[in-house]
Amino acid sequence: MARNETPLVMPGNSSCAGCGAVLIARLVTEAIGPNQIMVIPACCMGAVATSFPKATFNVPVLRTAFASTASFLTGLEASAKAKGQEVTLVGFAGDGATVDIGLAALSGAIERGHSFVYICYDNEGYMNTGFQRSGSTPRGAQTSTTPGGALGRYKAEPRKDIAKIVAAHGIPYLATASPAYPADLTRKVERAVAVKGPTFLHIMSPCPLGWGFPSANSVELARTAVESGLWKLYELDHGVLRLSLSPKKRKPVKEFFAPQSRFAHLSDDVYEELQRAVDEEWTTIEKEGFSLRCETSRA
Amino acid sequence: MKEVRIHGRGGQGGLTAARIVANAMLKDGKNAQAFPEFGPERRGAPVRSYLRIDDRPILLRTPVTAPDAVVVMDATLLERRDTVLGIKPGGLLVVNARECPKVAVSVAVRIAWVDAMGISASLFGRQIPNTAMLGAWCRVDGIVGQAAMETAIREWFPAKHAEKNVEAARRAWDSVQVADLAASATAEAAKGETAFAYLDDYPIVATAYPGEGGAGRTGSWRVTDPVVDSERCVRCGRCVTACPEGVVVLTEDGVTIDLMYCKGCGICALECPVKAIRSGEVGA
Repeated sequence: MARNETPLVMPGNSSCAGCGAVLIARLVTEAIGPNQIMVIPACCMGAVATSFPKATFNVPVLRTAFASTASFLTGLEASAKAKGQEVTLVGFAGDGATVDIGLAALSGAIERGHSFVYICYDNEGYMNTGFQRSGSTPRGAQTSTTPGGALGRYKAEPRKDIAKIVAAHGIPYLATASPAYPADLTRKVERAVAVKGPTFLHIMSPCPLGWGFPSANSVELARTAVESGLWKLYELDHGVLRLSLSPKKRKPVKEFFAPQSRFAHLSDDVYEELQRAVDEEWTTIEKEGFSLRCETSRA
Repeated sequence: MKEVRIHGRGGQGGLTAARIVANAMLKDGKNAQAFPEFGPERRGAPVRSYLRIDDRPILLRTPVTAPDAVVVMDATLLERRDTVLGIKPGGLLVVNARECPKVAVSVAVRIAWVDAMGISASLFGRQIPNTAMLGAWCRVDGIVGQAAMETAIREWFPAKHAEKNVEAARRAWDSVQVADLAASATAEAAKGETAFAYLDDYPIVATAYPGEGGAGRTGSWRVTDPVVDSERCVRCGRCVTACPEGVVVLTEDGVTIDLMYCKGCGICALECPVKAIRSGEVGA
């Protein structure tokens, strides 16, 4: 077959059709190249990484418990140093394993200043086990633990801003990215590999099953999130904060929310409120410049 | 005790079919259990559900390995040898297929087939074959009578979906066909194999080695095929970058897609800036 003969992410893996996370995994692994060791905790990509006896990634992968991605990276760094090995250490974790369960280990590893690239692909919930809410699920979303309607309430709390939490550590390099902007994503991964010390990438990862939209729309939805001003692409490189893209003419935020069944209950009043919040945020950015402080809690 | 194993793909409703029958049996004063076997299963991935029916309380909590009947929601699953594995002599195999499917079994069984995909497509406009398969299976198995089956379907679904599902089951009840299937010599040779026989080739350590097709030939998950118009293609490579599976390749002749593993998500068609890829009917 006329496909890349030695792909770093093997086709025929168990990811869903239209999976945003496996697309991100492919872009990230290809940007880093074969000289890397991946650490993947319990998460969707953890399940995709092996269908015993076959492995999906064509680079060494350590599968860890939910909480210990950054702990493994710490140990691997010590091991690589002891062996005099030059290798990129990559943590590849979902939002549950990053913003909730693995946060303590991540915080510790960044504070100690170990050298690694930590990728958080954010599908905004525990998608691998049936779409439960996570600390990264946006407000108003329907999940299996916030079912809404007669069964309970929709998610009432705004999401944690993990990038801001990580930035507060004084991390050398931090960036947000989107699979709809592969060149930007690749450049940021390459920069993260080049920087000495801990680096962190927060990448939006559309989930057709969990968010409830057709598998063909994964990349388009990620693009709409950026074009509507909801998902900001930026990087923080040794204290210098830069927006990677400011959408000139922003799309209405409704175009991002409306195609997803998890937001099917949102009324036009809510859309107007969401639109106003995003508009205010960007007015502030245009007036005062982009800072991590001026971000207001959203959706 | 009667044991049934249902093979389907995530989203086809195999578990629902098992539960509907279990409910009907419970109302009839029998004991029943219906449960899925799940791991990190995904939409389109093969899944199994089990059904047990007995006059006495059922204490077993294990998967069904020697089924009296096997229900196959998706004929492409017959390519997997574990689908008909362990079926009892004289057992029943019910398949979602337009014509009598070609399948090798190690013992003589009865085979039934019904065009559940066609019925489902005409009634729901989507591929949800479960209630049609339920109708065919109940008819040839005699497990539940038609009236009891329809009552059970009505009780399961909300009112707005109930009648269409009853109609799907009724059409299948009327159109299902049955034949005898003799044991085949090749399947006879494989008798005694277990679903995990392949593991004998590997040392028992928790290490997996890189290989394509970890989840099988995922091309069989497709519900639409990507169709490339090479004349229109401008070789920009957008589809190559956007393909989650990494099966789209740009060559001098245009774009080629490895259909053995393409899951048919449709991202390439949507992302193509010149509409040179479209989602067409599978196998067309």
